[in-house]
Amino acid sequence: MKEKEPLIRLTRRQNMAKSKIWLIRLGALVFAIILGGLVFIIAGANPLTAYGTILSGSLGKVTGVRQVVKTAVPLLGTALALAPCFAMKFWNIGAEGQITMGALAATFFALNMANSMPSPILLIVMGIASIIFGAMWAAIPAIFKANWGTNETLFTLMMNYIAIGIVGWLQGGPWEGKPGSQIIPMFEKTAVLPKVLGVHIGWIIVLLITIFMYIYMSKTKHGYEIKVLGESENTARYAGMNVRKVTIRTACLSGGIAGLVGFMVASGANQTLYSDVAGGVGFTAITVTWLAQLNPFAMVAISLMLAVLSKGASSIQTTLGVPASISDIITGIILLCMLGCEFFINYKMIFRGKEHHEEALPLVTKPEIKGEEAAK
Amino acid sequence: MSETTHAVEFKGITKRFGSNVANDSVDLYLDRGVIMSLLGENGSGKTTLMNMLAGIYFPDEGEILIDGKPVTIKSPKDAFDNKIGMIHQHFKLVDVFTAAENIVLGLKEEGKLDRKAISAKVHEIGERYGFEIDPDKKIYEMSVSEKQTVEIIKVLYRGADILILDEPTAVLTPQETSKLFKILRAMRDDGKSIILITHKLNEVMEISDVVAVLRKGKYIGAVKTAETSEKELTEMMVGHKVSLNIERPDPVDPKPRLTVAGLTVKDTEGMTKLDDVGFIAYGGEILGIAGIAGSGQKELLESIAGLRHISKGSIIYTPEGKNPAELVGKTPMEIKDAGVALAFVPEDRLGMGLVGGMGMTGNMMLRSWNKGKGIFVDTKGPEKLAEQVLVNLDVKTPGIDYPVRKLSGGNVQKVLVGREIAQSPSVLMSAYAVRGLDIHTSFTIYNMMTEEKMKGVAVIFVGEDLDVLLELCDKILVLCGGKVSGLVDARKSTKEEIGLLMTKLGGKEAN
Amino acid sequence: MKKFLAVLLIFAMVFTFAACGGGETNEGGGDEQATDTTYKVGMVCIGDDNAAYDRNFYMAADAAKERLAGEGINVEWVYTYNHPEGDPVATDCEELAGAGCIAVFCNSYGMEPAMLTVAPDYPDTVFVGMTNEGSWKDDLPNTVNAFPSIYEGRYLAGVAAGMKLQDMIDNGEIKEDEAVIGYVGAYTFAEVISGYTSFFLGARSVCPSVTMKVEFIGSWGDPTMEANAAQDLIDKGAKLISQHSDSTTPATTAQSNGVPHVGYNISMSDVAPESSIISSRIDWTNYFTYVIETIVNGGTVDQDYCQHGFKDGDVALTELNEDVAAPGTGAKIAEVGAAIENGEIQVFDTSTFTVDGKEVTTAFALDTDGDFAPDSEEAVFDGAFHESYFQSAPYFALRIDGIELLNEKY
Repeated sequence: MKEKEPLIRLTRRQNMAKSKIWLIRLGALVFAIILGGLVFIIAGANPLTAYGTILSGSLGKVTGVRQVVKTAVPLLGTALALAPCFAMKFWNIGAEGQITMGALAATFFALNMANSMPSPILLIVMGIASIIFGAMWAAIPAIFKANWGTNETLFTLMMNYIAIGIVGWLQGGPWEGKPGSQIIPMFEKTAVLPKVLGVHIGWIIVLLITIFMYIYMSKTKHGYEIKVLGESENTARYAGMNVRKVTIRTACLSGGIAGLVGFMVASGANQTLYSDVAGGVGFTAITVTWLAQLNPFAMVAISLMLAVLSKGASSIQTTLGVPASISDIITGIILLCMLGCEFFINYKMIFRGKEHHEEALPLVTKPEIKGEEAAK
Repeated sequence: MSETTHAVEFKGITKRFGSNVANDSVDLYLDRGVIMSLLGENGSGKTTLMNMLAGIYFPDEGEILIDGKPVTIKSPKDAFDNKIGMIHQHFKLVDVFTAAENIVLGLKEEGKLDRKAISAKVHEIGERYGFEIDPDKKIYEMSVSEKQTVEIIKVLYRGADILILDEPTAVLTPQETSKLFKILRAMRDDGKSIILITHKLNEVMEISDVVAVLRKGKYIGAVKTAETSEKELTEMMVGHKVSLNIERPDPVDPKPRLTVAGLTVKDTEGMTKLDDVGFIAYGGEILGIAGIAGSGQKELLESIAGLRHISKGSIIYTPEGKNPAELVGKTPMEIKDAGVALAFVPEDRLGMGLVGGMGMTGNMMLRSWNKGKGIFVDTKGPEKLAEQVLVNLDVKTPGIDYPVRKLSGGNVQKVLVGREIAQSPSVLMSAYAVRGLDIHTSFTIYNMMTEEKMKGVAVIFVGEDLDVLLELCDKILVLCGGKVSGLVDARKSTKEEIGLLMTKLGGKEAN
Repeated sequence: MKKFLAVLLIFAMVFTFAACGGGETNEGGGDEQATDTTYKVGMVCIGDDNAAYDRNFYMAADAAKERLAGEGINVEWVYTYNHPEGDPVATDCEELAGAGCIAVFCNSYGMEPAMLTVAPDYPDTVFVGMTNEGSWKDDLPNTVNAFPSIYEGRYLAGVAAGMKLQDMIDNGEIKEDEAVIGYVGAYTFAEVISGYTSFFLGARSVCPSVTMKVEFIGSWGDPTMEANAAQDLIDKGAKLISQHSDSTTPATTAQSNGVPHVGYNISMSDVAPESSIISSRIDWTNYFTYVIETIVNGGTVDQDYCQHGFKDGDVALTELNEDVAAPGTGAKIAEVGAAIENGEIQVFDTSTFTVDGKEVTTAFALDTDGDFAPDSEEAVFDGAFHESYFQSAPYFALRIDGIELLNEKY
């Protein structure tokens, strides 16, 4: 009988200890690092030196740490922005566009009001404008979804291109600096975010947003509404929630934060506006949000990790001559392993003839059984 | 017993999930041309055992013999190769395909898809066993019973000799059930072996030849249906004697609580779902609502709860010691706050009223999240309530924050009903509160209803089992095609009388 | 559990080694300062090896390295790739400056704003905004600009083009009024205007009947759009294609239409041997050598690298493709080149062109008040418009007669 067993059986795990779950995640990270080492070898670099350079280049010196933080700010901010939408199962993949619109609104004031108000007020005005524009950009697909049931995934995606197109037009048109240059002039000093510990103040803002988002999602009525709506629209309706209102409000919150990120990037990092201001952050942040399983504090760690990798990528490029794209591959491997290890947290593989007495689990389970098991 | 070859034989089958033993060394056999009921309470291991036969799980120990030969079933495909087919509780059909397309889906047949030949074969199977099926009808246009028929034909089409049906009657009307039973008998007479997973005792008695009982994963024994009684089976199932009588105290001082008059409701397509419905629900009474599935029961409760747009009519609500108020036009929230509670158990249990991903606390909050001023939700209250429900209703869960989705069906229902009762409503509406529950849990729910009634609550109980309605309720309102076809005194009425009202309506044909 | 221990162990190992690796790098930094022999020089590149534009820079960097080695100065080039603008460029600049580069060259116009945000933090590094012009008003001592006088090279390339068209007229292949040059331009930007105008003037100096059509693509390099524009120009009657854009598709498009072509940045004769006659290019070798030499010797790098052209070898032509060029082209280029060197020929000689039918007598070179309209420094004197005279970046932006702009949307 034994030799007729299936070679590998998949079984669902139950209630794995938290410590073990984290150990598996750690293991996945190590596995990814080893796999990435192979990539370095193929690229002709000593993996140990390469990893060493990534760490020393990003965390080994003050300027490196600053760069890391600067890179992590928009990533974290956008991941936080996406969290409520994803909890609601509103697939907002339009953060890219919302960031761009936020940056655009901030730039409008930076270009036109720089000399007519004091810097702190100007910055606050820019921030508010960016929130409003980002929120507006997210509200459009949300209103369509709430009223006519359009698909928000495609809609938000399309809105990205419109936003980027608008900035591209401004860049070569009304806001262009030197004619033909395709460049919007640098912001005046009054419109640039001040630095704290060498990095623009955006890092403090996103940390505040992190705490805000944690409280918002876990302690407030709004957060509860979002979670219920994410589970089931019918239930939300039954509980007396205004589904349309919650959908639109949450999208606005999400877009607003993304817009604020746009402001921080334009005013803090770039000190000008160009069409690629979001630079793919709106998409990378989706991975951050998922990896963190919507937990704001986990997002801090994950966006920092990605920032270290990205900064390390330029370090290995400059010191070892390894193309930065190799680092992108490594980042990809790490993300894949981190997401993939969730499978091993939820399932266990049993090889033929082994471990009959330890957790043998079903390939497919039904809620009844799981519940009953768990209950005992 | 070991000399004769049985159609199916389990020998020492053990299956563990983690540290829990779902099946503990089960020995069980089934012969050709026999309908066997597999009886057991929730979590007794019925479905697990059958899933091993169907290739969904693989046993940790023991072996399965088909026609006396040991076999290895490691996938549903192996099961089909051994002529075993399982009809699951949750249908596995592609909505946008036709019946015929679903039936042949996944079959590797040579050459082109010959729709005519498939249709012909489907017809032939239908003729033989008495199915009525249109092979070209799309699944999404089908009723639940039609979908079930497709599932059965799918299995037969693949040549199954051994059929497993997991709670097939849970979603069927009495009429559909008897139709199904006729088909099952036809198949038995054709030499097929049929296993029914169920815990409806009356059906067990009606349809099966043999009853096998599991309790807590262990095989208790098999008896011939003709030689046993519901009482004996129940005792085998639960392990001790139980009383099957529902207590029905007489109402004390009933007062009109909910006065419904001329209620007319249309659905989004403009179809009339409720037509001039009127009745009075009294505090201190249980008003049963009977009717064929889809006669407007759901719409009626949803209308009272404020979830439906009401075209015409009024719902006057008179709380204890307060002035009557019109509910039509109020929001679901306002109605709930006024004390009208709805415990509706939809077919998938979690679709409405409960949030599967949240724990008991989160689900208790569904009732109170909007209470209180400020932007924060109160978690203390719901936590306390969850603890209460946990203790009072004996909900089996690792903790009040354990996702209810992972609880068993019975426990999910306890959470739902428990929450509604905890609101101390003055009107408690429940629909299909015992759907899919075993006897033990069902009785817990019935008793809860009666307790509420004795507190002076007006209980509206939509049920499927006429026997239960007759035993539990004080009055029974019968709906037919969205209209009231009768209101009877449950103590004086009979099943036949109600059955007649369910299908006839003042000479008009029910839809 | 064993498994987990093993995994932990590996993890610990990786980090130990990583820490060691970090140490090594730091030591490397220390060594460099102690020995003082190898200087790191950084370059932020808009593209990578695949772009003609960037390859022109690498060639010059290697040549400069070789030349400096002869003088006993060892240079190590450090590159970053594929960032056109914004924060990624700032990150690259910081990375390079942080790695100890004595100079950081930003090889594209759009990089300057980002570069300027980093420069104040690294006062010991010289930041070069190549082909841009921001440094003279940014109050930073360590930012400079450079743009050799490429219009001279364009003029000479234009002579080669004009020779070819005149040759075709003389052979009866085309009529006089059919001598139309199609020019694929990037943006309606002084740099581009100056480029196509000098090219056109060079062509007209040897082929009086020539006219020009310019189509802008709104990008410095987009192979598809460049090819489409070239095709469109040919369809509209262009008999010769030239370009101010980064890829080689205008050359290949010209070849597949049987039309001659004059390139830019690098020789395009290898991708279009039957079409491409010659290319003008900036040779950055001199400039790289100059900047590095100056820094190493403790001098101050000129804020603007002005008036360095054909004479100094900062602007050059690629090898002439004799198979396509008209007979005598080589000799003619040599003759005109010598005349430019000794000042006999002024590229923008105001007697050779008109604007709206009139000769130009006055035009400003520089913008001082920030509205991007030139308002100071009279560029027209001694009978010519003096391009790249007051600053290295081109400022000739007049729309002269004889050139038709097909679109001006960029």
